[in-house]
Amino acid sequence: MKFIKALGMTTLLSLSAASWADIAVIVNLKNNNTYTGIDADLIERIYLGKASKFPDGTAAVPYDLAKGDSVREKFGRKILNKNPSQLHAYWSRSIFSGKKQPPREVGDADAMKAAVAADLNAIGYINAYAVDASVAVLYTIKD
Amino acid sequence: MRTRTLSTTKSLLPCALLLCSAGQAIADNGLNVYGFLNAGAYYLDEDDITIESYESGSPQFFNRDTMMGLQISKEISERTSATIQLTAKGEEDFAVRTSLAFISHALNDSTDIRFGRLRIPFFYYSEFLDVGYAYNWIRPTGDAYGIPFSDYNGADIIKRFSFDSFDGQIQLNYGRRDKEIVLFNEAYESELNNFAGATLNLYMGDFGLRVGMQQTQMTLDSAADMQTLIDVRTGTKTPDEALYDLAASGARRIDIAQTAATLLTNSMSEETKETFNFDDKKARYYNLATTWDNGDWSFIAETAIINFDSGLYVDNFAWLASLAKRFDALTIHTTYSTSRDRLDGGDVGKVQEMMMLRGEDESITLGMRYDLDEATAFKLEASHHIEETNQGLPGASGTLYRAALQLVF
Repeated sequence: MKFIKALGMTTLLSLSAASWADIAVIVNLKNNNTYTGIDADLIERIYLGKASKFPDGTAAVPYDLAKGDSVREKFGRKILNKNPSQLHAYWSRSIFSGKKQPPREVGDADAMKAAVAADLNAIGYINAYAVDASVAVLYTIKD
Repeated sequence: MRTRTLSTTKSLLPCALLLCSAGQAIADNGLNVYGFLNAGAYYLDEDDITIESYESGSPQFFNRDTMMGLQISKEISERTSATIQLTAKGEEDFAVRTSLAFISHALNDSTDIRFGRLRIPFFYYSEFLDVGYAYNWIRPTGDAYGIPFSDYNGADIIKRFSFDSFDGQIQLNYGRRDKEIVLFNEAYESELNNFAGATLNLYMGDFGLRVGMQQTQMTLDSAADMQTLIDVRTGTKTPDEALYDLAASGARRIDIAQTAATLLTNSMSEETKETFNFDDKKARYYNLATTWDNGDWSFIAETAIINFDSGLYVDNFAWLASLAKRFDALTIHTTYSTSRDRLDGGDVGKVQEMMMLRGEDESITLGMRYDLDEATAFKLEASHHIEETNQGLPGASGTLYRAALQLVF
């Protein structure tokens, strides 16, 4: 009985919460785009410095996790279609042309949440299980 | 041992914290330091061809394709920053040059203006031509990228925009360049005035399109040799003898060409005569590039067209097409490129034909890039170069083998 109960809890949890390996794209709690949502294509364009606005026209300022972070690597492969070397080569073109700089980096999920909570225009991403009430989830990247 | 480590850790901790806070201060101050490094070796197997300044004979190490760049950017305010980039090339004995030095100011979220020393955005790779890590080749083909100067002093404005599912960027630039130019390994004093251009980049999904044009009024200190002209006009020497002697005296190649042109256009119209110098003559550079990159496969096709009002330099039409396939850390790529000089029509073209200025060649390149880590790539490349016409005569063919380690930091 206990076992069945536990099984039921697990199923409930997996239905109600995001999978442990999902990535949540997060924004400030006051960001209006949580009503309309955003598609993966626009997230990619914002993170590659091509687009600079949310769907409602407000400025979007992307934040990245630090180089070497496994969530960053997964985000790069799934959303930006680039492995870390390709992403580095992509930004090298812009940096050494003296143009747009890559997104600002933060150390870990806590720093990401703090940065997003402090910046109305911020967009960031963290492991879905790290999401808390300080930020709003705009998009979930399924594992 | 363990105790010792602990005590060291203890004593180091305040230092580490200090370092942390110093590092944080640097980040907060908006100081960014970036750099790139290329270390290359090559072997060219044929004496009778010219591929940029690669020399045949024994393998060459850390000379061409070897350079280092250091770039420092400082945020002065939320919207303003200053950037300097210094480069040192092996082929220039690592003399340090300032390749970028500008102030950038964001007028708004989508518009930046920059003032100072900037790179001329001729073609797709021009603004990051020295950063080998940024592309698959060891260096983009000289067929399209053999322009002997790359920077100017002036200003540009960059406006980014988005429509529905595509994004774009317009860049308008204006300035001048008042510096020596090295042509055929010889230095010329030069003035490139009214350097003006417009570039449009469009991106949609995996596709990219670039259209650009640059133009300038070019003045070089080249001149016809008076003594040679006198020797021919007084009958002291035949034109061939006089020009041969001029070349033997070590005269620069464009001075010789200008002397020859003065002799050849002697009986032609003033307009034709006036074409064969570099006094305030317009040069125009056109570019059309399409790119496609889905992360595994990538493709670029690009045309680079140069049109000179001076008859001493022949108009050139170049294009390249390159396909690359990535297998995790390994990328294999192949490229076809060609460069074709186009003589002018009428008398100017006839004189150019007589001066044997025309060159036509094509290259096929096969290469690999292996990403050793997130910031370091090892590359191998073989380029078979076929010179159909070299200085108006049939040319030879040969293969250039190259290896390089290229990184960014």
